[in-house]
Amino acid sequence: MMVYFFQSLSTIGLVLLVSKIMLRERIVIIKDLSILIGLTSFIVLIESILKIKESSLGGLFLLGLFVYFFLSNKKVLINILSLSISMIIAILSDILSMTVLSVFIQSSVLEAERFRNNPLLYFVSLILMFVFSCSIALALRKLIGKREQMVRAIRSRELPSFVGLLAMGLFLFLYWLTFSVTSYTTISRAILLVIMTVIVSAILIAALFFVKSRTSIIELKSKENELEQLMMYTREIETMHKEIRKFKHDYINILASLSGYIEAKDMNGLRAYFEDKIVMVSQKNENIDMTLDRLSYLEQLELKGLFALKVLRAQDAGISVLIQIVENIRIDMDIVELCRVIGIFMDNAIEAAENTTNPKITIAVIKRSDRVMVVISNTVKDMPPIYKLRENGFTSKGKQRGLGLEIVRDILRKYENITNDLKYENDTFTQILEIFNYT
Amino acid sequence: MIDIFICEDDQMQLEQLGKMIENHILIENFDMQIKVKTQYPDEILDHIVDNKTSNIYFLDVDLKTNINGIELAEKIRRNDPRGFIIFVTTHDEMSPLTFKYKVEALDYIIKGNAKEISYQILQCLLNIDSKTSIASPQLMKRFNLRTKDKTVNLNFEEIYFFETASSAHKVAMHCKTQIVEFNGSLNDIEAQLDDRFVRCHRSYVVNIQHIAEINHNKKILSLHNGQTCLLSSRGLKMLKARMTSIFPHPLGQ
Repeated sequence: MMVYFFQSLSTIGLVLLVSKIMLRERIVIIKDLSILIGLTSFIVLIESILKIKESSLGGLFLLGLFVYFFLSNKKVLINILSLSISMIIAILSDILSMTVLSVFIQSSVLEAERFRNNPLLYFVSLILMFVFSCSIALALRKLIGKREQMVRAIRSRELPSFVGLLAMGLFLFLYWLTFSVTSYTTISRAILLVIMTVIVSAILIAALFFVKSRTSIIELKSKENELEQLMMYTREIETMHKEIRKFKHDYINILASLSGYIEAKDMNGLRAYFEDKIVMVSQKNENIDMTLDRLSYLEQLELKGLFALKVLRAQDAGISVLIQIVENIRIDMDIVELCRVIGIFMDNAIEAAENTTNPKITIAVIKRSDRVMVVISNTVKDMPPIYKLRENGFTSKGKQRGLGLEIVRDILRKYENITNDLKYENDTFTQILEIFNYT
Repeated sequence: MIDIFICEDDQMQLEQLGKMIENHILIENFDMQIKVKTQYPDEILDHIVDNKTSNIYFLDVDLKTNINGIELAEKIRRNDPRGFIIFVTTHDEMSPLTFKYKVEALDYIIKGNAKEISYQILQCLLNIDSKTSIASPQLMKRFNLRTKDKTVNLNFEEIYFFETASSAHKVAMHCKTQIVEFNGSLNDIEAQLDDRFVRCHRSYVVNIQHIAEINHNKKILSLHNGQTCLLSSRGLKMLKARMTSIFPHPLGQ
């Protein structure tokens, strides 16, 4: 009974320790220890009352730990995730320590199981297990990065991999249960194996289907968006052309009447006509909106469409937009990610410029010998301190917003050859994206 | 004496521009002279092949030759990386951001009536005059950082701190009104700074001038603008030593 209590205590303690490491939480010795002993005694007590032998109730302690973590940090997803990761780590290090031990005492792994009854060997294997699992956990923690990032990654994109991880945790747990519980007969082990294979493959298949349906929906949506943007762009270009044709028509007419005045040698009439018509026409010429025309230099259709859409939206909101592109440009970056970044910059620019007295957005795409620069600047009122814009979750727009710049940073983190500078001067805010040629 | 180069395809406008600049030099007594006045870009390029100084260039954007003013400026930049380039442009082709970021032009002048052009030229020349006549010790205090991809030129006191950015190999420079990222390591940058900058943590180099508070317990530095930097034990020691050497009185008294 005491031995069994100690065994359970060490197992639960290990999982608790590893998940604490994964959660990046401080270890409070008294509190954690009392929870640990309490939980273990509770489980051992229940098992002895119900006369259930060995760790069949192992799942119960996971639940207990989850409740304990949930009470302290009020998070669901992250707790489940780190508990299942901890489970995987614990089981892996158990197997690892057994293997190492069996090498040293020169026996097979299965035989090593028996040495658990030898207190000294059991103790050594336990220490090995702790060392292995703590180092795996620390390495993993470093790899994963901040826990907020982990949660965000799971929520936004990688839900399926989360499910996969859970499935793997479950699989390993059941696997461990099957072989570590010595009281099971061969038949019950076989049945357990079949059951767990069915469960795990069902989860995996479901996850796969989920991934597939999700990606196809996303693809469809982005295609639709692209089409819409391009259609708007074409429509705008068409109206521009119509206006230019009209102007050309006017201009030929004017030339014809000018030659009429000259033939009649009517200098006064000519002067009056010139001042009246020509000046007016040249003014009219200025009114033709050639803004979008500049976008034709962008070689990537998706980017062209995106800019056209955002520029039209800005103009609708009463913002004057100036586009400065003077040469053919192709940007060497994953086009979907590029469009996301530019889209966020443009949305922010529009939102900030809208509230200013003289709203203006300037876009420049510039090619230099070693880089391409995308510069988006907008007028701004009540600018927050510039460093706030790089802080996670900062927003000047209320709840559920302001994720944009965070997404931008997440995307750009992957690219070593891209830098993103921010500048604020003369009531103008500027985002500069520089994509360097070298990789 | 700073040399001035003018390139404008229209003979009339070229003469007009030259006359205006000459007048300003005479009236304001600038230490400048017009060296080349031409309709052909190649003539300017020929003159600066072995260039060693920083010159002033007034360039028309639309040159009606095989290259335009911006391309000409790019070629000039290869021989005169720190020269002052001013574009002369019509309202239609105006693209200030392109001028600024593509060839780091100083300014641009919009063609219009003579009086306005003359005024804009004067502003440009005054600006250059003030930039070049600042006493050199002052200039030395400026941070002229060169990494393989960016050149930054500003006063040391404008910089708050440097940090290693989220992705490896990138360093972010925090200033009051701008944040600039470049490729490089903090070690390289630290070597280009002066005494007021301290490596207070593995991933931070902070400007002592802007520190408002040191929190020993949390191992955090607060700056006057509300930003915080991490602080390591080694960094704290270095910081204290540096502060006592700069301010002889003990900290916080």
